[in-house]
Amino acid sequence: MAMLADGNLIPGFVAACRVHLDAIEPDLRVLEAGGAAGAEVINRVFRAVHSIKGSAGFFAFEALRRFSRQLEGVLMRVRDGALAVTSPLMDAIRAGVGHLRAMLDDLEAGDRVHADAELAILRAFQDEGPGAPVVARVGGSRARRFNLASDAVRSALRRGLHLYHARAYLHADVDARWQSPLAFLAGVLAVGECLDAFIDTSAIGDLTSDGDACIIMLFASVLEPELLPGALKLPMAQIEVLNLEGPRGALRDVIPPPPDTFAREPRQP
Amino acid sequence: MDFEKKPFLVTRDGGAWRFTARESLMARHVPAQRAFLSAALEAANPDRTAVVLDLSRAAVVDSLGITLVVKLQRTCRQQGVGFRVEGANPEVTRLFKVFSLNDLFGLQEA
Repeated sequence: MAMLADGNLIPGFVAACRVHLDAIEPDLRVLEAGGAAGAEVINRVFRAVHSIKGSAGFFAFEALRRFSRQLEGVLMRVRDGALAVTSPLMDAIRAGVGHLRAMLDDLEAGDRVHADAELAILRAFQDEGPGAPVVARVGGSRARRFNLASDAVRSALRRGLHLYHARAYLHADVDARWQSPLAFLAGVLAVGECLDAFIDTSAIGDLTSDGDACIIMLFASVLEPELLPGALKLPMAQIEVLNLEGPRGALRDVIPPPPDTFAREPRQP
Repeated sequence: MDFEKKPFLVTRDGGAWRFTARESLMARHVPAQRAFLSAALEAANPDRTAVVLDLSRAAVVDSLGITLVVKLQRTCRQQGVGFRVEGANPEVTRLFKVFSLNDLFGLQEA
């Protein structure tokens, strides 16, 4: 049985985030220079911050996730043409990127550091929040719901990613094929974006009973459905493509305007 | 059961029973840990109002360990007593947060 508290994944996460931030430095300079920047320039900056946000969420660095999400929201508005690239805007973005670096430099403390001033500046560039939440119910009314900003789903769709619902049982799948649950999540991040994940404990009884808990993910990837089982080391039966053209539960029907609820049938483990 | 080999140190503070794991909640320990907890909590006890799982000595919690903690929480819920986890190290705390178990386990933010 592999160990699960896999602290050695964190340095890799921090290093990957720094690579993202280093990679967008030339793009930030282009934007700051005030010249005509192509869509790909702002897209690269957006994707870098988006990736940091996703990974921070996965590793439960809440302050980092929250801050990068706010920065991502501003970048999204720039990308969508709702915000013009101005000096004050670039000052805010530059300050935001600088703050991300500072949080990464001292990650444990950063997860507790308040960034109220920086957040207030970023919020000033957003007329509205990051979008109404997309709520997806899995496993019946007793189960926890996915809860994420609809912009995250929209962003995945705009980039042509496939959306999947995947289940990984802690013992049957994760222990058998991955080193640990966190290693499994790292493997997931290597092939796509996890929009949300949680452990469904509904199959677990008391101390006298047996049962296997299940990691449930809402997952976006460029990989085609037939490639995903191999990449995630999961049986195909546990991966469901969220068909946007389907008559029931089509995500386009659940993104605002409200009601913004994506109800799924209860699933049996 | 030989006290020195018991997987948990049990202390009481009023109605709160504290189970301090002596070792990590890992596959090789979980069967004994589960048997011990099951025996200790077999019957509801009117004097027991809460169960605290102290993980301050548990360096690692693996998949079976997660399941054990969930089972313990379920047992406490069935018996109508409170349950919370305390003393988890940052890595174990992060693990619970990643999987959205912190609320279920009554985990307090540091």
